[in-house]
Amino acid sequence: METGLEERNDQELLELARTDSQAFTVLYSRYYRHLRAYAMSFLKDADLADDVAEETFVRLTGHLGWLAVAHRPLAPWLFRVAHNVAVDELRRRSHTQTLVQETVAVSADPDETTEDIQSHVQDIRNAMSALPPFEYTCVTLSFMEHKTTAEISRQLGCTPRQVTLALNYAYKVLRHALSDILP
Amino acid sequence: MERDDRDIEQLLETTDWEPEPDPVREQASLARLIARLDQRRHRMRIVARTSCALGIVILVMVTGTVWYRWTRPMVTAVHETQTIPSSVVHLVPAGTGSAPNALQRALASLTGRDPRGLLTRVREVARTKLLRVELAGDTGYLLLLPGHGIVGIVASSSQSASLTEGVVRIVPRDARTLTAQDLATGEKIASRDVNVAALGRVVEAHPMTADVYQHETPYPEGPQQKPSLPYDPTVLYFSSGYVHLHRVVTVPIETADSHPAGLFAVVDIETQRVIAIVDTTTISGIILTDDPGPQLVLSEP
Repeated sequence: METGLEERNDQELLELARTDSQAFTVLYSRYYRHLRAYAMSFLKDADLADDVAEETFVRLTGHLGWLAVAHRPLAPWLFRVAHNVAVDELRRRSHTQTLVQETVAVSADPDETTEDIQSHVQDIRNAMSALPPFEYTCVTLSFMEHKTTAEISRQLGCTPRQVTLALNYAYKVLRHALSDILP
Repeated sequence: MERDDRDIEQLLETTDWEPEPDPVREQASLARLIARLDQRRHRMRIVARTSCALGIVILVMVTGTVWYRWTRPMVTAVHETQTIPSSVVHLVPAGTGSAPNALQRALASLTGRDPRGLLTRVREVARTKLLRVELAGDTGYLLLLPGHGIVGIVASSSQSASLTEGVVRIVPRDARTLTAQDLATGEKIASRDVNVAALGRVVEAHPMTADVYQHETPYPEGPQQKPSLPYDPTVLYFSSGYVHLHRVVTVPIETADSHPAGLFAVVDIETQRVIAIVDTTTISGIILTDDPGPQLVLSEP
């Protein structure tokens, strides 16, 4: 992988990704896991979450030029697309409920289920699904990427104040949803 | 940040709530995406190259078409007027009409001009195949039929006076009355004419008021010889000479698209030939024919 690509910001990588697959790989490794987790919080299905994350990147391949030229922050766009794709999937599942239930039963990861039972991970995931895309992104960048409010605001193209408000709102939603397990 | 949120923050900090993806599936997904991206780039390159090539082709075609349409009439006119009739020579200003050299020809072809300076503007006569070619100095115009050459020469009205100096104007009362047979003959002559046939077909002929100018032919033995000549009803005698009387019939030409284009064939019954083809919607002046034939002035329609 080209030296220094990891240190580049999203906009620079978007510009490079139009001609350089390595830059696209960096974007992929930067966001795939978060998008999958976000989709997972909605769909409760690992396979479908993988599909949603991949579909989100498929759409990114078609919008690389536009995102690079328009200087739109990438993270909110990705989470918004993932949200839409996941909602479409939920809608489709509601029409084919029986089939989906069978799919979920088959595709559920037993190891993950065991792990969720042992801790409150599944509760947290369920609670996270109630967050809007922007708030979810802020929480992810803050606690998974360990970024400061200033860094998040730069990455999302917003003010630190907006990030703080989003995190406060997320805490409020999570507190309500996790009231049973919180001290 | 609010103090009460520390418990939530601690929970999120200490819990790895993001599910671990399957690395194999993650890599497979990345490989599919990279392949898709490569395919997309390849497609975009082809589209860009094709668009570029198409753009160049369209540009060349449009430029070529504009260039061709702009220069073609003058090129045709120059080609068709390589031999200039003597009557046109009287019209064009002195100094023009010299043979152009290669450089002049090249420059003229680049700028869409006549290298000899004889012809100034060329345009197509609407709904006909004719080209109307303006002569230098606004002295008149030629009507050209591509492939057939000059079919009509018209001097501007300002030139008419000087051009008719030294000729005799034969007023209608001098000429013999046109009969139905003359009109039929005029139609027949016009319908046989190759230039007329190239433009369309003739319709019913009708007499148009035409003043005929002619150069007098002096008596061979001087004015005194006049009485010794045998009487000829087709000849008009003057004290200084004589002229042959001409009967002129105008025959309308109907073009292929059936639009009344205002084209007329001017037929001389005496010489049994089409003197000229004229566009009567724009006529103003004298119609020239080769010397020593008749010079006509058609009245405005």
